[in-house]
Amino acid sequence: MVASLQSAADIVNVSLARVGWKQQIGSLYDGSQAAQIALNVYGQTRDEMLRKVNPDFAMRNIAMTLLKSAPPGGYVPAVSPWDPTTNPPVGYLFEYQYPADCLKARAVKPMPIFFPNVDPRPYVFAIDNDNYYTPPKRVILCNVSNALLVYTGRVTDPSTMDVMFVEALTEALGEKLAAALTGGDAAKFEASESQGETIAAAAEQG
Amino acid sequence: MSDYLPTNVANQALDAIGWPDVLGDIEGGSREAQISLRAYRQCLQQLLRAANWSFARKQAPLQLLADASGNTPNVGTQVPQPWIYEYEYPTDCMRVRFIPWNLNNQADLVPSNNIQIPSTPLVTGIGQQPWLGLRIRPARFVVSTDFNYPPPGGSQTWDVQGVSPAGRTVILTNVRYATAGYTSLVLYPNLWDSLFRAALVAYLASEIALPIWSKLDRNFGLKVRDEQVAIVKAKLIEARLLDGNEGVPSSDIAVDWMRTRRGGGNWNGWGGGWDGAGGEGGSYWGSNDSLMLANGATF
Repeated sequence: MVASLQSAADIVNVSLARVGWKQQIGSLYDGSQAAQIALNVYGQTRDEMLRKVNPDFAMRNIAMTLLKSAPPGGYVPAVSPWDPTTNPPVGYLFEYQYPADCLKARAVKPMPIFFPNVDPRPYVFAIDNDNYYTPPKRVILCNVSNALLVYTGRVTDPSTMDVMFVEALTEALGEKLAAALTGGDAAKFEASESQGETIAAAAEQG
Repeated sequence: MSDYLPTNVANQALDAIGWPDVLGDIEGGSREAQISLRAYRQCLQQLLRAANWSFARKQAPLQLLADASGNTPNVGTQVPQPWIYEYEYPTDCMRVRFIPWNLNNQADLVPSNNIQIPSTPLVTGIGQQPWLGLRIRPARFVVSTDFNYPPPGGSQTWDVQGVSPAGRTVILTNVRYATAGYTSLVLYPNLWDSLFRAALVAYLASEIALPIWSKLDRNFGLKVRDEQVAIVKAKLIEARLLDGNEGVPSSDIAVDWMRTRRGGGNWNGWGGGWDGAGGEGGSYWGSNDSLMLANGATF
């Protein structure tokens, strides 16, 4: 079920109510004390929760962009030695670009020839920072050619979020707002206490 | 969507261990999906080996790699003794059940002084000896690894069963133009026997119960695992009984004196007389394997 809260301000207002803050905000940019604090923590908390819960609505699939690959015949001294500017780290055949909106890489898989795929297999991958680029690039290393990436993407529109996820987000946000607005009194404790259960429910609902 | 997908099987296994979530796609990358995916194919392959499932039976010609007699062009001649022919292990073969043999595919390497069928037919004009209706008997064979015939360079060997840059899995036998009856890898769940599917669900559940529950309730995970192991055992007993009741039983007792009646004199190790199906070592039947279970037991 899609959440009835339609904007980031709606979510922040629910969080403020949870911690007992009397005033609401008009938007994250209205300049009030609560809005300024919420603006600082909202994006980070939302991304943190998306990564933690891995909800279905945030799942994305893309064909990755190849950056580097190992020579087909392997590394042969004096013929095709390992060159970190054109080859991935030793141990991997391919290096792909990390998507800009990716919060968590879930799985790497080859492009299926037949669909549905009745021979699913696990493929190992690793996240790395390639320091041979300037500035360094975040990359995905694996041994799958023409690989697809399944990942949790950054979802910024609350209207496309699941209602249970929004509930978990308001709780997590409330915990941080309480600490900043009330100086860490009982409200903070109250908000954090039930957070574990809500996160589990959000994960279950997808 | 169809009920015949690996994701459906994995979801049944998750149900069996009491996990509250379901998978949209076994390749979706969630923790449960990753654990299920790592176990899925291994469970499938091991369970296929654990009984002679009728639905998985396949008979196919084998690809010749080497002929010790040197009579076959374009193949090698190095074959481990005392065998004559070396064949590729089929890439979809989970377990070889038997190599059928009859008079039409006997070995053409007959040692001198052996009793053999005369090369000149006793009666002419009858055409080729009919294949149909001839008595087929299992020939001796052995599965081995040979380092003499690695695959061609550039092959993607790490993803194919029985093939490596250093060598490959082979079948050794004395049967010319051999075919093999074997348990094949059947990936499509809609081809599975319902008993097999139930056993696979329980087997997969027993493998994933502990890793999935380990963070929340390890003891519950252990308890569920043991319950599922018991279900796997019950299903396998049923499957092995059905194998004996429905068709040709998968075990065969080779009695020496009966085997000798069909063979001529032995000759320094080629054995089995003229028929080419004999030989030293190897076996006539590949019986089903024991199944390794998640609690450390074998069945």
